[in-house]
Order: sequence, then C-alpha cells, then structure tokens
Amino acid sequence: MSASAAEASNDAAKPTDTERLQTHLAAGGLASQLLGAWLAGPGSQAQRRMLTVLDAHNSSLQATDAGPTPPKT
Amino acid sequence: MPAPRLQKLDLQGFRSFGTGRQTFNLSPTVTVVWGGNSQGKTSLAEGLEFLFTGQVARRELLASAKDEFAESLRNVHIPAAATVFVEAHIVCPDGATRRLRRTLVDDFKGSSACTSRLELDGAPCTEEDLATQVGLKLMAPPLRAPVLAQHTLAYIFSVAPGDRATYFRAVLDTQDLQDFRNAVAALETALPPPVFPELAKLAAIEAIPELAAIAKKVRAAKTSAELDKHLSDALEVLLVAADIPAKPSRAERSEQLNAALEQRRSQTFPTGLFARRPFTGWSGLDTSLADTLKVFERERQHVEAETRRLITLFKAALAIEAVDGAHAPIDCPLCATAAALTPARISQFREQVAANKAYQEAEKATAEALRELDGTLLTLAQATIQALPRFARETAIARREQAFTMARLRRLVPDTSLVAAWSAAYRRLRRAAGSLQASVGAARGQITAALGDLTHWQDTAALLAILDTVPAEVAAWEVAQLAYAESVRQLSETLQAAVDQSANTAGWLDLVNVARDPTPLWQAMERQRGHAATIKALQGALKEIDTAIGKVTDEKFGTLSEDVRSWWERLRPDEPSFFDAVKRRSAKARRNIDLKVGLSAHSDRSDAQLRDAVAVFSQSQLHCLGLALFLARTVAEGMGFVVLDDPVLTSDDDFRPNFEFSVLEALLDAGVQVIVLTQDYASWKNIGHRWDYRGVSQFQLVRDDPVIGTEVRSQKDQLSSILAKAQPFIKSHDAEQRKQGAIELRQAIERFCKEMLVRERHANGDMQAAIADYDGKNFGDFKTKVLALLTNDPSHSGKLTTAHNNVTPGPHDDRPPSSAQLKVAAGDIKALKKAYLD
Repeated sequence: MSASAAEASNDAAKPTDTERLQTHLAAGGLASQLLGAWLAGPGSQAQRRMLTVLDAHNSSLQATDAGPTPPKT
Repeated sequence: MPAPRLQKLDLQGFRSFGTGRQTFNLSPTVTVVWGGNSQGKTSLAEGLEFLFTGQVARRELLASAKDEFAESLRNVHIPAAATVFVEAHIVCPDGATRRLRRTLVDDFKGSSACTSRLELDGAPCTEEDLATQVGLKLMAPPLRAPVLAQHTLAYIFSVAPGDRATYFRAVLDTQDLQDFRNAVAALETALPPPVFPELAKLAAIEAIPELAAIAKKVRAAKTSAELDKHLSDALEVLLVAADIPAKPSRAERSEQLNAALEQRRSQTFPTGLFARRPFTGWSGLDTSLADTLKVFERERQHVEAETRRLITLFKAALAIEAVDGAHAPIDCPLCATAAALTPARISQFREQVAANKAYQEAEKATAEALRELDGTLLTLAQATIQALPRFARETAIARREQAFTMARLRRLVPDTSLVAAWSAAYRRLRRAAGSLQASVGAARGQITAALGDLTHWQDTAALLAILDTVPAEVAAWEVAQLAYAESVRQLSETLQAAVDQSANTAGWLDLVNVARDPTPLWQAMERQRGHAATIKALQGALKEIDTAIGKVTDEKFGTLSEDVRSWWERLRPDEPSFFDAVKRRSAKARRNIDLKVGLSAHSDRSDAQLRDAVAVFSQSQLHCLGLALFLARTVAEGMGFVVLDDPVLTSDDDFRPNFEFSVLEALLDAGVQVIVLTQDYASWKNIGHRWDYRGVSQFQLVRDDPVIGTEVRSQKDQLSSILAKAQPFIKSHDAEQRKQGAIELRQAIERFCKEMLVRERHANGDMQAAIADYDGKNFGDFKTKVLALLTNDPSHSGKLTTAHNNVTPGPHDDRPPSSAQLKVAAGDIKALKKAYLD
C-alpha cells in the first residue's frame, strides 16, 4: 500500500470480507442464508444455526405423502 | 488508533550479545544501525522477532533443519546463570509507555521449540495482551513480526505452491472467509446418510436378477401408491417364475412368496432346526426350605418315637371324662390297675399330646414345601430340555431324513471356523444342560425319599447340599445359552445366505418383509431422497461460495498489487521490467498464486509480455520484489514499525539511494517507524545525513570480544566507529586490505590524540575546544603534548608510539604491516581509549 493509500485506508470505512462476500452471493439463496447464519451469533453454535437453515431450505422443497397402504391386521 | 512505537531496546545474552546489557534509544522516525559482518545485526533483528513472537522465523522457514538451531539463542560464551532477555519500552496507542520483556527459559533443543517468559511491566502477559494493551497484532505465520531479513525475502519465491497460497491468504487476511467455507463444507459430515434396515432390504431386492427392471421402479417410486404397486408387481414376477399363480393383492402375494421361500429353504437345509425356545419359568429356589426343615427336625426331637406310638392311646384316655377330670388317682381304664392313673400321670399325657400336635404341623409344612420344591425342579428340568435346539430333540434318523447333517452343513458353510465354533458352543450347551439335569435329578430323588417316610427321613443336609449347587448350575447353563446363541447367529448369517443362494431365493425374505408393510421403506426412501437433496443443495452452495471467495480474493489481490507496484516503483523506477500483479492462476484456482511481472524491450514499458517473476526475474529483481511485498504487507497490516536487516543487496548499489530516500520517505509518510540495519557504511552515513531533520538515530555494533559480545556505540563515538571499521582489514591475508587497515588505525590514533587534547582543554576551562580545531594536523604535530598526558601507566606513552610506528610505513616502505602488528596496535589503542576516554 502506498503511503497516501495507507493513510486514507485508516480513515475510510472499508467493507469487511464477509460484506464483500455477501455481494457476490445470490440474494436469498442457500449460500447467502448460510453466510447469514454463520454471522448471526457465536462461532461455537454456528453449525447448529447453519443446519437449521439447511432444514428449512429442504422443508420448503419437499412434498408430503402419507405412505403406502398399511398391512391389514 | 495510532500504532505502537518502539522507544528503547535492551538486549542481554541473546545470540551475539553478552552479559552486559546493551541499550538502543530509538528515534520515533528512523534508526539506522551499522555493523560489519558478524558484529550482531542479525542477532538484533532476530532479538526483536524473539521478543514479539518467542521464536525466530528463520528456524520456521528452514523446516528440514530445525535441529540445527539447537542451543542457538543463548550466547555460548556467557555463564550458565546469566539471564538472556530482550526488552522494549513501547509507546502504546493509549499514550502510555510500557515495558515488554521476554526472557529465555529453555533454548531450542533438537527439534523442540524454545520456551520463554513474556512480561508486560513485570507481570506475565500473553500474545492477546500484546494486541489489547500494546496495540501490536502480530501477522500470520511464518513471518509474524514486522522484521525483514534477507533469508525471509526469498521465502515467497521458494516455498511450495500450497504454502505460497497460505502465505497470501494470510496477507490478504481472508482466513475468515476460509473459516466460513470450511464450516459449510463440514456440514456434509454433520449430515450422515440415513441408515435404515429397509434400505438394506431394498438393496437386496435390487440384487434379485428377475427383478432388475421392476426394482428400479420400486426405488424410483414417486408416491406411496406407486411403491405399493411396484412391490406387488415384483411379488408377481417371482411367483410366476416359480409357477405359482399370483393372488390379487400385495398382502396375499407376500404370504404366497413367503410360503414358497420356506419350502425352498427347507429343501436345501432345515435351518429351523437351529431354533430354540426361550428358557423361561425359572425364578430361583424358595430359600425358606432350610428353615422349614430345621423346625421339622426340632419338633421331631421333642417327641420320642415311643410317645409317637402311644399318642393315640393318650388321646383316647384323655377323651374319657373320668380320666380328663380326675383330681385323685384312679384305676387304669385299659388294664384296670388300681390307682394307676394319678393326676400327675394324666397331666403328662396332656403334655405329650400337645407336643405331638406341633410335630404334626411341622411335618405337614415340610411335606408341602418338599412337594412345591419338587414341582419347581420339575419345571426347571422341562424348561432346560425345551431350551435345547430343535435338532437336539430330534432323533438321529429324523435329522437325517430332514437333511440336517454335518456334512451338508459344511458344504454350505465353507468357513470351517464358523462350524467349529458353533459345534463347540453346542457341546458346552449340552454339558451345561446335562450337569443341571443331574443336579435336579439328584435333588428330586432326595425329595421322593423324604416324602416316602418323612418321620424317619434323616437326609436333610444332603438335600440342602444338592440344592445349593442348583443356582450355579443354572447360571452356567444361561452363559452356555448366550454363547450358543451368538455362535448360531454368526453361523446363520453365512448359512442363510448360502441356503438362499442354493435355493435361488436370495432377497426373497427382504421382499416379503417389505411387501407385508411398505410404510417403513417408503419413509426410509423419503428420508434418503431428502438427504440427497440436502447434500446436492449444500454442494451447490459451496460451489457458489468458492466462486464468491475467489472474487473477493481477486479484489483484494488487486489492492495488494497496487501497493506492491507502488513500492516496486520506488525501489526500481523506470525499469523496462516491472511488477504487474499478484493473482490467482485461474478463476478456479485456490492453491496456485502467481506473481506476474512485465517484460518490455522499451523504456516506456510498451508491448510488455507478462511472465512469472520466479522464472524470469534476476536475483536482484526478486530481492526487490520480496522487499516490496513485505513493505506492502507490513503497511497494510497497520504495523507501527518495521525492522529491515540489510534490505538492499550489496550488489544493488544502484538502487540503494532509492531505498535510502524514496522508500524511507514513503514509510515515514505512512507513519511507520523504521529501523534499518546495514553493513554498508556509506548507506549508514547517507541515511543519517538525509533524515537528520526528522530526528534520525544512528548506532554502530562492535563485537571485538566474543565473550563481551556485541556492544552498541552511538554515533558520537567516532573513535569506536573507526576501530570497528578497521577490524575486518586487520585479520585479512590480503596485503592491500591490511594497508587499508593500517590507514584506519592511523586515523584512530589521530582521533584518540585529538580527543585527549580537547578533553585536556575542557578540563582547563576552554569549553570552546573542538575536534575541528585540529583538522589538517597529524600525529607528529601533537605527539609530544599527548604523550605527556598519558600518565596513568608508565607503559602508555610507549604503547601509543609503537602503535603509530606499526601502522605507519617508512617513506619507501611498500610492505604492509602484518596482521599481528595491526592486531597489537588496535588492542593498544582500545586499551588507551578505555584508560583515558571511556
């Protein structure tokens, strides 16, 4: 970084890496939702939050079927 | 937030530094330190690395030679008890000055890392404290501290592609994105595929050759109704193939196939003969029997045998009113003996009858307990028989008729160990059953004898002894049953498969079970599809994230490239070869980072061809590029200071002015405190002159004695500087170099004399006296006055004169002084300096 650029960078509010990443992800897509879950709380619980996002994503895709005819008893 | 500044450095015992604490009072702008070869420059640079990181990067970079660094941090010449430390006074972002000190605890040993103690203002501190209290956030490994040495410059060009990518990821500080990416990738392992027995059954159905086509439909069924229909069709296919007319419904067909399966299996091998009934109905023996028998024996002892024989007569006599109510002796009603029955005798009759009643009750209770016990033992014996395998209860003829033979079993199960294990377990089972039956039989024999003549039965102890063995026998029997069941389970796995293979019924049972109730299979298939969809979506998301991280990386590489170009242009302006960019090899590359440079035949850099720096740049150019990369990284990371150990190659004198002026100017403008270590004396002087107006500090490193170690001389100690400059020439075998050494020592003698004269004048009140007063004069001009001042020791005047003679050739003498002469002269000058000036 040049001297002047270094000084300027200290003052300007640079976007964070994750903010930059979000701009390159499809809005509302699974990847974007996962990033949102990743950032939403402490890292120790990030996997649980992301799995919840995945569950919700799949639930929205799957239809329901009660199942075949049960056996006669 | 302002960055931290180094105010003062202290080193002791670290590498070339000795036991005397050496201090540098640093300029907040530029500090330049000169030192010849092996005088302690690298020790100083690595001392700073050690202070901040507890390590030296050189050892990390030479991974294959870690053990060569054993015992390398502590000066080998200092006493074992001497403390080794590096200390810095740091002006922190909050304005406070804090003292950071790292003390060596254990040096490197073999391939083991060194250990040290870090303290801030005397209290233990951590790397996190460095960030929070000192404002110093270390960079990512392996170059964590803002300390650049020549060996670290080459690092980025010599490492493997993966390490280079890691380095640049650290430089770009995109680890947070990698962490996110890795966390998403790890979700797949947190979502293992569902494991359902029904899915294994489906796989078995798919392996039935006749069902190749229909099984695909089963797996692809989109609705439960479709699954229902395809399973029914599958059953029909097998029934038809077996010449069995299929009934209409799925449920009927599954029972039809099950019947056909049983028939085929039994024709191949009667596996049902391995079946056993569970061993039930045993809840232990009644533990009160012993007490019952004890009471019985006690009551029996109370009533004599003769009494038991006459008890009927006693009862008959007492039934006579005259006898029962007699208050005086009366005649015996049986033998008519006069006055034979006295009241005392009649009372005795009553006692005997009462005692016999208790005995009768005890006998009755004992008989009931024995009969109950006998029933329990009989149940145990029957349950034991029933719990034997079916084949054990068949006759040998019956077994042969059903084709249950060892020969057939061995043909179906080639693994002899399975058959042997089963056979051994069966033998143990039989032995346990036989032993239990024997105990039960013996006990029942005793019971039968007792019940036959309880009045005279005397074998109580024998019966109890046998009964004591029964629980242990039952326990052994149960253990044998478990072992046998396991051996059958293992044998059956292979046997059943072999039977099905032989009978051509592999997978039939799975189809029957699934077709009886398809709901679990449907649910398992739904879960499996759901899992597959989740994984597919996850992989799609991961791909999108990788692409996006690549774009962020490219953006940051673009910024970094601009910064590196800026430093490159300051170091090597206007060269036709130039740095272009650091970037990923391709849009998908994650592990290959290239450093692209432009090669042009024209001074305006037109028609430049882009190539990889490593391949086409000279060593000098790579060195400059490494320096530009390091400076770009250091400034980008917001480091408040930087230590540069010989940043310009000796062979790069053409570019040295660019560093001394343009690069330092940019660093100072960026607010970076600079510490330059150089072996180039001219460079040391130039930086001193050029940055004097910014408050430059200048030091020299001198290491005359390995035991004393590296010593720091400030700029004002010109005499030490001259002596230090002379040092490398004195030892040389080259005559011309020794001549140069002699010239340097003559200058040192003259400087010594001038300082003596100035000091004498100051002592006499002439405070205007200055070294410059003697410019243009030489030793001959002031020899007499100086010799007169050497009064501390009678030998001193002779030493000064001899030293001058040794370094001053005669008018026609072209021979240079010997190393020994020069060494003695230098030693005498240092001794005189110490005696009169220090």
